[in-house]
Parts: sequence; C-alpha cells; structure tokens
Amino acid sequence: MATASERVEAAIGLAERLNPTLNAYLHLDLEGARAAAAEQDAIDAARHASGDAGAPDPARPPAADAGRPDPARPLAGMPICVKDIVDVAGMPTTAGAAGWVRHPDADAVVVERLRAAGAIVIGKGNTNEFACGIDGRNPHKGDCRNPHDPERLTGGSSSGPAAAVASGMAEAAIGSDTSGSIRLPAALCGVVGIRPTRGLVPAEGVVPLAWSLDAVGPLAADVPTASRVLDVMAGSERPIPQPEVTGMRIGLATELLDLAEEPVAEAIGATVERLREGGAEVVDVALPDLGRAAAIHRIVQCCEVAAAHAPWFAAQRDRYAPEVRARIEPGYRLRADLYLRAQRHRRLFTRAFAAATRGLDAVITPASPVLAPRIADEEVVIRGERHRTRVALLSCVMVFSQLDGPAVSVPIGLREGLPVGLQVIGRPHAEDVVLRIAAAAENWV
Amino acid sequence: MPDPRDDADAQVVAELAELEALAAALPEDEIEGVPPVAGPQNWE
Repeated sequence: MATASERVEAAIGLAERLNPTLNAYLHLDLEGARAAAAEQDAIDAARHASGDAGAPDPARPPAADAGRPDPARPLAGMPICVKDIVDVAGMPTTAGAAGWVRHPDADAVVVERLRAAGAIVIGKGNTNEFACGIDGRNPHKGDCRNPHDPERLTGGSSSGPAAAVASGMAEAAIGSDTSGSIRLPAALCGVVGIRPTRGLVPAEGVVPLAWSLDAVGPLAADVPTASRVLDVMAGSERPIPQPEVTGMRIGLATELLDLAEEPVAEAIGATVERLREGGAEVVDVALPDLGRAAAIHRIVQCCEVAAAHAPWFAAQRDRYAPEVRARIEPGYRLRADLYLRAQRHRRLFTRAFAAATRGLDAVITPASPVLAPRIADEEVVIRGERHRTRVALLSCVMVFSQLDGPAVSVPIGLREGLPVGLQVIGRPHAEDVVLRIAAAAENWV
Repeated sequence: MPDPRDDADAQVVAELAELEALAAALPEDEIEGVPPVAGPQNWE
C-alpha cells in the first residue's frame, strides 16, 4: 500500500503532465494537497507507533505499511477531484462561468465529509458552464478532452471529474447529475459514475442547477471505490458490493438499445450474456413514453434553473454562452401553471415506470447511444440517421433523473478504442442492488 | 443568412416557443387529482 504522499504525488505528476492537454482541472492546489498528504502520513505513523494499525510489517517502512484500515478515515490518502460547482474552502468556485465566482471560506458538506474521511483534494474539476450542458465543452475555460482520445468529448457536465479519474489525476471525484451529468461523462471516459437517490447526499455548498432534479455523487475507477466514496458522502456504511446477481430479474430497455450505434449495442449484448451467466434473468422491458418524459424534464429544468440563477442573471445575462442562456432565460417567461403541469405529469411518469418495471430488480440501458463523439462534431450518425450530438448524449440518461432513484454508469469494455458504459437504474434507496449489478457488469478499461 | 444559433436572443425565443408547445401538449385531463412532485418521491 502506497503512502498518502506517494498517492498524491502520483496524481500530481499525472496532472502536471496531462492537464495542459486534457484541461480536467481548472484549479490545482498542489501545496495544500502535499500538506494534507504529509498530515495523513503522520497519522498513519502514529497509529503504527501506538499499535492501532496492528502488527507492523518489518519489510516496509512504517508510513508505507497500511496495516489495519483506520475506521475513522476510510478514504485515507485518496486524491480526489472536486467539480467546480462544489465549494472547497480556500479555492475559488467558478462554476465554469465567464465572470461568476465565489470564494468560500467553508467546504461544501460533501467535501467536509470526504476530507474528514482522509480524502485529499487535488483541485477543482472542469464543468460545462453552471453545469448546464452534457458535452464537456466550455467556451470560457476551454473544453475538457477525453483521455482516451483528446480530440473527443468527455461528456459533461462533470467533465473534469471524469477525465481526472480516467487519466489517474485523481482516484475519485465529486460530480453532480441533473440530466445525466455524472453518468454520461463516466460512460464516455470509461469510469464508474453514481447518481444516488436524490437527497441521499447533501447538496449544501453546491451551486444548484435544478433543485428537484439535482443529485451529488461520486466518480471512481471501479465499483468498490465508487461505493466507498458514496458511503462517506451519504454518511452511511454498507458492505462492498459483490458481483452477485443470482436470482435477480433485470429489465433490458430494448427501445434505447435499438437507438444505439452497433458497437455500443454489441457491447451491451455481451454484458447481458455475462449477467445471464452470472445467474440473472434478463428480460426485455417496454418503458413508458420517453418522448413525453423528455418534455417534462426540459420544462421542469428550465424553470428551476431560471429560479436558481435569478440572483445574478440580470447582471450576467450577456456573459453566458448563447446556448446556455437559451436554456435559462425562457424559465422567466414560462407560466407557473405550465411548470406545475409538468411536475404533475412527472409523477404520472414515475407511476408508469414503476408499473412497467414491477417485478424487476433494476433496468439496464446504454448510458450513451454513441461512443465519445469528436469535439468538433455538432451531429452524430447512428444507424444511418443524423442526430444533434447534444440530443443523442441526453437520450439514454436525462429522463431517468425524474425517478429519484439511483442510476449508475459502469464501464463494460472498449469498442474502437473508446469506452462503453452500461446504465443500471434502480428504485429509490436501492443503491445496494444497482451496485451489485454494476459490479457484475464491470469490465475495467 | 445568419445562423439563428449564433443569435442568443433568437435562441431564447425559439426555446421558449418549443417549451410552451411541449407544455401545451401535456394533457390536462390525465393529471386531475395528481399533485406535483415535491421532494424525493416514493414509487407509488
């Protein structure tokens, strides 16, 4: 087991080498990270000296011998990236915006919990402007680039967190997900991203996008690590999820599989076979009207983001990227009864989804219908049909945010040198179930 | 002719019109007695 300083130096070394190309971090705090690592090493050395870490291994220097894990600091020495809409004391929060910035003197609750558990903040991760976007592009701070191919999108809006984990510039990251902003970049970058049950992880100290849809969650290289980080974020404790799906009944959303390009569909098909070999029953499931669900989502999000931005919108109006402004400003003009009509239909969608999936433990879909598109491409071609890139990237993730349950994207392999992500959707508070399925499906990239 | 996507005001107007049309297409009779979502939901 490496020391905290060794793990942090490894992350910093990669950040110094790769960040100028990938633009995953908008702000680095190398001095702070090194100081925190030295503090962690001192704690570990003291535990060894007191015997709390168990018998020392004479073959290793004390600081490098992890011994028994410290139950009070389950993430001891883990270098992390924090999406730049989440407050970290002593670092600016820019939300990836042109001129908007705040200088918090306190950590967001989720950062406070991770630091108390021993995690070490390396820096703040790139994001679409105000987390309002799905592609990882940012005209103000520079686009984030995919570690698997820097000419391709990372996905967003948690673009920096996904790229940082995928490239080893962090072992885990904090992201946020309103319309797929954890799951989609996790899929395109080949890491695990968990959108938890909404409300499970506190959002205090996080710049909101849409209150009734926002969820804060982790990204990490593998399911066990992501699960451990989620536990700390949520203040809960659960066993490491095992890849055990025997007896589970899983619904495969064929409508979304049919929308995916061939390499993605083929990878999903291979994973379905592995889940079946693992003892799960995988059955086709027809979901409720996803077109209507998308309309509901867009109306709700637009009204809520307008309300969240109201304190500064007038002063900042002309500094937003045009496409971001166009997703906010209509919210000041949409009538309240139309917002409420959408929220009432959202309840119907949830009921219809629950009815359609009765008897199933979870639903699986592609997390993205396409492999990471090229940054310059405004359109993608899927099975001979052209689609706007933004619409395609949202198509498998956005509507499921309305259900309030957990949804995970897990890497299931590479196709054409690019990662494919499987999405696993569960009932509210069924994190254990979706993470077991994710662990069984996981195929490290 | 300028691309309307380059015009921020035109984008706002177009998005508003689209959202209003989407909202109008959500049937009102289906939500009689259905309260709006507020807070994390249970799957009733």
